[in-house]
Amino acid sequence: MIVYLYDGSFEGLLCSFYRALKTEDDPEEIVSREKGLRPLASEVREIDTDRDRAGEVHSGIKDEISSGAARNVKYCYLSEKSGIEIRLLEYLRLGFHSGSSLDDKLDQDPVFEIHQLARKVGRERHRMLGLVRFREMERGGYYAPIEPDYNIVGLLAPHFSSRMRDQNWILHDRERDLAVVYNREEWVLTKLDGDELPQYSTEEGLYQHLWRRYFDSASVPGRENEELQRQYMPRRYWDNLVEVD
Amino acid sequence: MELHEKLEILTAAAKYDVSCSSSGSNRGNEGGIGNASRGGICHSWTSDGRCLSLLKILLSNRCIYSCSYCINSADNEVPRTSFTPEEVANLTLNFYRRNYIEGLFLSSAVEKSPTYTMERLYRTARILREEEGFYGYIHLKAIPGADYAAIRKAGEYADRVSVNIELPSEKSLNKLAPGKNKEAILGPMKKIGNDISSNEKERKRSGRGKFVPAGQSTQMIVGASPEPDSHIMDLSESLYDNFNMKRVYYSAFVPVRENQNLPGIADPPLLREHRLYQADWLIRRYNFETAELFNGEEENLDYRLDPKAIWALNHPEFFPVEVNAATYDELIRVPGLGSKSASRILKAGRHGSVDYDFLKEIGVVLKRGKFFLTCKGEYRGGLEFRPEKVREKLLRASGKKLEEKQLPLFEPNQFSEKDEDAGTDPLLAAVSGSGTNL
Repeated sequence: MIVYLYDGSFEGLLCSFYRALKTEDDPEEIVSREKGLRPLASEVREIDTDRDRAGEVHSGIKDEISSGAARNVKYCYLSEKSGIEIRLLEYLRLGFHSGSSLDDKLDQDPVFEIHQLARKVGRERHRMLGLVRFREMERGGYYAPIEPDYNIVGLLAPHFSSRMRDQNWILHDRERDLAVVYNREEWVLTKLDGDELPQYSTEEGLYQHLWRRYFDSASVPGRENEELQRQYMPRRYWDNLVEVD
Repeated sequence: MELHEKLEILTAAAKYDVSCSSSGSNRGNEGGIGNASRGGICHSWTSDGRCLSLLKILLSNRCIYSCSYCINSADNEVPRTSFTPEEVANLTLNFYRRNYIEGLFLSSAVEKSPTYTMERLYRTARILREEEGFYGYIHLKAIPGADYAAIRKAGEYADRVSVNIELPSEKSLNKLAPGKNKEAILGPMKKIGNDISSNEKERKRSGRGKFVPAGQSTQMIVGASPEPDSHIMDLSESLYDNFNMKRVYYSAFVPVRENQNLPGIADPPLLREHRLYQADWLIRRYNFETAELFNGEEENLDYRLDPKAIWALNHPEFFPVEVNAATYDELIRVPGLGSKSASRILKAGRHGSVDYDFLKEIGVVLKRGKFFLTCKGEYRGGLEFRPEKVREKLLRASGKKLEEKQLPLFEPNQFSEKDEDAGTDPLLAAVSGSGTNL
């Protein structure tokens, strides 16, 4: 049984696909080095990460299958679901065979599974576009802590860089110690220790207070439905919000 | 008065307007703060389970009118206050920069005069757009009776403008909202609708500024007056067809004060409101016509089931539908199937045939759907399709569900006496084009 070991990056994963598709390897598993190996693995192949090669694979998926398929691959990778790498390889094998009609073949394994997972990641991304809460820092600029289920902080960056264009901000995934930092011109994805929180400005407290007051006043008495509220806005997100305890 | 007190008063007074949609505009950021998202974004959910997307407040709750259903009625004793346009702009920006909101939904009680009020709404939008470089979403109310020039100017800055019909007939308007009349409401609505479509055409040609790019909407209060559902849906259908309306909102009447003209109900008719939204959806998205939703002489929807299921049960001649042979229009009329599932079935049908596992996988609600469809000839709704049996089973399931949600199955009609001189309502006639010109 052949097992691929890659560095855990998206580029590394794309290089694993390249090798699997170009050789007779037929790996049984593709595993990130961080996650470690199962002891049973007999034949381990180390995959080198080559950015140019990864770029080729990525445009190959876009050109020969579709940009939707390329997005599905990226989103599933960001789900960090264990074992998803090999399912993505199966998806791409089918894709390079069938071309742009790949995503209509919901009855062929693993198309539907990939779609479902990509959709979950997309849903969390969309949900988070609303649930991110920036706080004004004492030293200027804004800071927002998040703890999403999936590794989506990078997917949020384009939205907030075009929206919050004229302010500096940091969007911080405190679980994964990852952050997007934006300086009014461009954003970068970088490592950032999750333990320390910045000092907030004095005005910050006022607007948080006003927002809480607004939130409480906006509910219509006689229509309470907290179950519905939690369905849309699950509890696990509440820690990083401002308006709910 | 402190800012937070004003905010509480003017939020509480605005919350009965149900729309909070921030969709339909794609205003881009041209160097300042904000943009609009075409699909809209919810930023929070209040304890009543409603999406919170916009800062929805009144500029003022000081009102010259006395509408019986309205909490801001001039003769109601509530604390009164007003924001300045600058205060609202500042609040909007500070909430927006923290990503609390998609933008502003600004309405107002009629302070001093309709035109005075409209000018202040306009000024707030102008500060945001011109002075603060704000490109986020703005929804403004058009105040009935204001000079159209003021409404027109406001529409150049707003993404959406709405005039509330409030009550679905002229008679009820006269009775419950004596300060308003149908001309003052429908007149600007018609003009806004016309200006939106001419602006759409012109924009393509000359790239001139946007006018209400997310379209106009309106709201009706349901249950404060005696109009039946068929009347309400006729009115909505005509608004969509003839007034270039993007959305009609329905608001279950919440008794906020006692008044002899109003029904004394304990709970807002939430189930009725829910069914009206479903019916509205069928008209807007599923090519249904209002008349199809009411069986024979019935004037109200049957609230026990969703209107599509009711329609299907009344039209057994179309069922069961074989999913592998059906067209898109046939598929979307199957209860439990939506437009997404219909497209997926058609796509997959081209590559192979569709079976039950597939339907389950793509999220078809088979609990309801199984009664109305066959898959490769196989029927799973019982021995064979028998409408009466299906009705029974669906009613049992829906009764249980409604019980769990604690919604009453039957909502007693508060208006026992029948409208004697029903005739044609002049409001409906004006909207449907059979009445006088506006």
